[in-house]
Amino acid sequence: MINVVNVWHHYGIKPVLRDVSLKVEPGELVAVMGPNGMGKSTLLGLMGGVLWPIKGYVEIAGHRRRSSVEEEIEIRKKVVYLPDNPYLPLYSTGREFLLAVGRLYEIEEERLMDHTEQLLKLFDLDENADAPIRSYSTGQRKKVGMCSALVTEAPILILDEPFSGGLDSSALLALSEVLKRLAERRDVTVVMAVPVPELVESLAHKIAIIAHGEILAYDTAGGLRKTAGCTGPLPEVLERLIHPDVFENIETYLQGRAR
Amino acid sequence: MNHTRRRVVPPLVTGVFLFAYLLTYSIDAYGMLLGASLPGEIGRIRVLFLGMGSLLYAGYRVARFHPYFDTGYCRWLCLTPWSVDKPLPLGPVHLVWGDLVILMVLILLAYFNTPFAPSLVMVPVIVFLSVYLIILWLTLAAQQLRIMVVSLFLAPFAVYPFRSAYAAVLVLLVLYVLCYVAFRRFFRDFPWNTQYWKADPVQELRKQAIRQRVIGWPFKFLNVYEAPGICVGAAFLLSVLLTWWLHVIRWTLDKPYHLALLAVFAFPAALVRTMTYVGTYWPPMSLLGRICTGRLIIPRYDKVFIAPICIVLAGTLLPSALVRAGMNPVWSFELSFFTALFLALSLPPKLRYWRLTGPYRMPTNIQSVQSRRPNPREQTLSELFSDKSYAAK
Repeated sequence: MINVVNVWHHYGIKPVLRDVSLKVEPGELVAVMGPNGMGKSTLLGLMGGVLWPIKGYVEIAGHRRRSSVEEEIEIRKKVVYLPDNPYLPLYSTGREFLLAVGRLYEIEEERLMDHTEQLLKLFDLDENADAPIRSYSTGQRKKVGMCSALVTEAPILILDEPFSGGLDSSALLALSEVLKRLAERRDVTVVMAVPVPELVESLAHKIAIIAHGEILAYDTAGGLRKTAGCTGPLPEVLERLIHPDVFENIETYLQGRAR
Repeated sequence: MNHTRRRVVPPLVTGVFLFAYLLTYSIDAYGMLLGASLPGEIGRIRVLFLGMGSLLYAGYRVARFHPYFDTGYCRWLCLTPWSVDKPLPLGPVHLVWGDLVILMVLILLAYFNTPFAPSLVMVPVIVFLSVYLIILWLTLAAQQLRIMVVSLFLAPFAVYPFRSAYAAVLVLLVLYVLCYVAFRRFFRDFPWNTQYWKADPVQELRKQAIRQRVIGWPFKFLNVYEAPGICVGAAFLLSVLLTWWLHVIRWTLDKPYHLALLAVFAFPAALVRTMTYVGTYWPPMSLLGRICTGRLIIPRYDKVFIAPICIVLAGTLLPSALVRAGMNPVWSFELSFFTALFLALSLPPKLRYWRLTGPYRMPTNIQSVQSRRPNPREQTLSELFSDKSYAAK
């Protein structure tokens, strides 16, 4: 379980997160959504251990982040944080990279090799698996990054914009299906930042909407519709929650033009 | 015996220096026959040739026969019933009679060159033993740390307090005896628990991946394998050792300390410590943020700056304070050096503790690219480990 408790964060003067609290139950797939620059990546960075909250704290699987050496090690064994542009070793091959990451998470060697092979095949990288990463296209690099998170077999995945960055349709399908199955199995907890709502509804158990550093809503898609008082598609629901004045403004504008 | 003699014979490159020596010696002798003589410096240059020959021979004696330097040999030896009580199949690493013969030849050549300068006569032996011991120690140090530390404390006695070539040779021989003991113990544990023969090859591959930058952001910075760091006892011992070496170096150079030198040491030491702790572990908020929010000091984070401040103080104010208190300037310099070093190595927080619990933020643009191709030798090791049944052995 991930428990974010009354977290405040600011890099400079302007608060990026204000008193944010969020609870993610084990096996849940949660999508964090919201406009750009509103604190999605910061929230994920705090969960991933990259950032330290100015106020409040983050608990993962009952351990508070950075409270003690032992607890932090326990957390790190369980959590994978994948930023939107992770480092990739350009002179190493995709397979070498995945094996190295798997070893870091103490995956048993035979299983690791088998899992690596499966992932490379799933993301259509098997032909390039033994070529240096510098020869990969942007989309292929994104796929390798995604594979590196999955190869760890970590029970908690924190993914920053996994669907962006030039993934082709087959990779989008593969990734969304993998995440969907993991969510169905309920043995992996996933928190991901997604700027576009189209992919989310069929995947996420819950959606957290963040804007201006605050959680505006945190519920299932159905719950969000109820809150927004809208039965339309999810993008419309989000717009009504994030920018409640937009639709009214549009109507006012169009009426004005019609006259 | 014949077999061993044939194998310890010096390599060709050593012969080149000996040939150069003999050539200049012949020219000199021929010149003297004709009534002319070469400048006196030629005699010293010839000793340099002998020294170079000894250096190369020492390097050859260890590197050529030590299985540590040849993975293939090491791997093969692992599969044989070899043990420390049997001679190494390709030749001995320890010194044998054949080495003594070669050293005697070098001493004789040096003697003929400068018969009345014992310090120059013993140059080949001193160079040979020094290089031989250093290279051998590099292979043994990780496994025989205690003997290594004792040796490092003893080594300065080669020049201190007697400036005598014979005393230096005597100390080097004592060090060789210690080295031999360590060497026997080291080979008794063969196949070694070294980088190449770890019981856990996966752990080695993990380290290798980080070293070669196959692992980068964020896996490298969020992994669970933080180095345990140096304990207070080890920090104390290391500080004493380096201060002792500093003392001997100053004595050998026979020059007084300049207090500014200590500051030259203290500032970089403080900077290195600061960068180690802060380089990729930034404050949770910017300076502007601190000023605007009134949180000028963030105690949990800012404690990392206490140690560098103490190091700088120990390197700048302490020596003059001790001198003013009546302490000998040499002692005050050395005591301050020891203090600064000890503080640098031992003051909390420990690096591991800091990296796992510090209230820092990691800059999200850590994009250190893999700047070099993986080392081909390490690639070979990867292949070696891929043979699991063998590695497990």
